[in-house]
Amino acid sequence: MNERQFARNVREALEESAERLPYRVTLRLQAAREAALARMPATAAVAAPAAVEAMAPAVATAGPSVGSAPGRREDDTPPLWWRMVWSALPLLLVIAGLVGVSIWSDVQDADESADVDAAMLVDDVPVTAYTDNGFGAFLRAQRP
Amino acid sequence: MATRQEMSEFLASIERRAFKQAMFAVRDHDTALDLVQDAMMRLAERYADRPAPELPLLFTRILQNAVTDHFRRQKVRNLWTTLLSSLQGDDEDGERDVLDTLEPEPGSRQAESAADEVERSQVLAILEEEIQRLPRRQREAFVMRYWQELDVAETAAAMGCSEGSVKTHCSRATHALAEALRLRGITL
Repeated sequence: MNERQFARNVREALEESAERLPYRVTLRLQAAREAALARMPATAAVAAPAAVEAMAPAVATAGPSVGSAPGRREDDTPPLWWRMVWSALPLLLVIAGLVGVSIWSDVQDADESADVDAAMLVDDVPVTAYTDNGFGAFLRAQRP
Repeated sequence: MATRQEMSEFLASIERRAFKQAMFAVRDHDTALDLVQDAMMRLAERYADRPAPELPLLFTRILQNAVTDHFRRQKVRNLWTTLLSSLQGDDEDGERDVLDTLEPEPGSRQAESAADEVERSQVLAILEEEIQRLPRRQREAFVMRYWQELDVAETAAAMGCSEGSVKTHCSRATHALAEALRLRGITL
């Protein structure tokens, strides 16, 4: 099989198929094209063809060529670093949640300790009694 | 910098082919039209400062990325919604004009050409069906190389692979397509 000839025949068939698109599809494509042209920047729309050709060599040599920018697709896809940050966002949220829970737990423990301290201070039993070994032995003996 | 006229001529020259290309990938008219429209708008909005000769490759990559993003979004959609949309048939028949169904007199020249027309339509439909069945990378390489007529380097840049891979994909696609058409009794 002649690959080139076959490919040419397929191309002709595909072109013919494209010419047979239904009217509603071609109408929408035309509308899409006009909508796209309406979004062209005004500066590009008024540039003269002669000026464009004169600028073309400068444009070709001044900046990076199509597809050469590493780590960046040649379209409006966000740059790689932005996509990495966006991908790490759920993990960051989980870590932030865990830190928040830990802080809240510490606050709860501190509140409980404060409640115990307050109860001890207002109790009839003097605070110094809790440091007395004999008092501690008395309490353990009283346990059922 | 491409002028409005150059941009308009370029978009008019590729819109049908772009639609077909999107259809091969997403297999849905409305989705394919949306993808082509989005790609056109992005090209005109953000790359109007590029020279006209760069527009074909830029548009190809924009459309490729749009198709890729479409499939990424589709993965997170509700499964039953995806299944229902895949069950929707082609609604072209519902919009066909009644006058199109008028049959010519048997034996007339119109009848003979109508038969050839139907046969040709069937051949084209089978060709597109077999192209759709190709593995994605082979299909992309084949369409870009042989329909959009990008060279090997441009195709490799658009697909994000090596030139050797492009040649391999094209060769396999060509042989697979030829064999599939042969099995269905079609010779191009």
